[in-house]
Amino acid sequence: MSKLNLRNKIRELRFFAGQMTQEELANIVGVSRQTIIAIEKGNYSPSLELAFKIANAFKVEINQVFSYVSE
Amino acid sequence: MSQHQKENLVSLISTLTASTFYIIYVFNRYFASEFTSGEELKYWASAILLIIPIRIAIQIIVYIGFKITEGIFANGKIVDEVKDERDNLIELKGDRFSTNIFVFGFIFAMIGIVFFESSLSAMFAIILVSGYFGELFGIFAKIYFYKKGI
Repeated sequence: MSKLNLRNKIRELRFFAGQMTQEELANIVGVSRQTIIAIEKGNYSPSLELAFKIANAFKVEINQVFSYVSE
Repeated sequence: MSQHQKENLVSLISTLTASTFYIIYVFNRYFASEFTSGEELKYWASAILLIIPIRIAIQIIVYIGFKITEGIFANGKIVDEVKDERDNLIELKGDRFSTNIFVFGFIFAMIGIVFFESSLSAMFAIILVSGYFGELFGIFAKIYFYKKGI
């Protein structure tokens, strides 16, 4: 499966949010930890709703979490 | 390994055991019997109809067994994972894969009837086998998507 063009800074944001764990983030946004891992690794492109929920969890704008890289 | 990945593996095991044995049984019984044309149609129809309750029953038994085993190994501390959008997407993609294989088998069976004048039994056998492989590859696809991403 090829990597997606969507980049994210979830790992970095988790670190600056008091070293929030993947499990904690997953509980806040209402998904499984496996989904957070898949998003972080770039193996899964979240829905717009989930992307907004993740941005809200870190209290930042969505473009500070996700960016699109055109090849 | 996530809860849903484990469930897919359990589903794979139950499909492999239940459906494989059932299909072998159906074919063995078919080759051991002599049918009139009306009986043959009834035999295949009942074979296809019976696979549904048999599979449901075996899947329930295997799933209960899986939960009990999981509970024993986790000392009763099982946390049920939420089923989120990724799980739903993987399930849909796996099911689509499964349906495509079945439809391909169905069309192949119809082509056999129309162009090669194949027998009624051959048509039902192809439908039964394509359903089996469709389900099997659908589960494989789900396991693959969980592992490699979508």
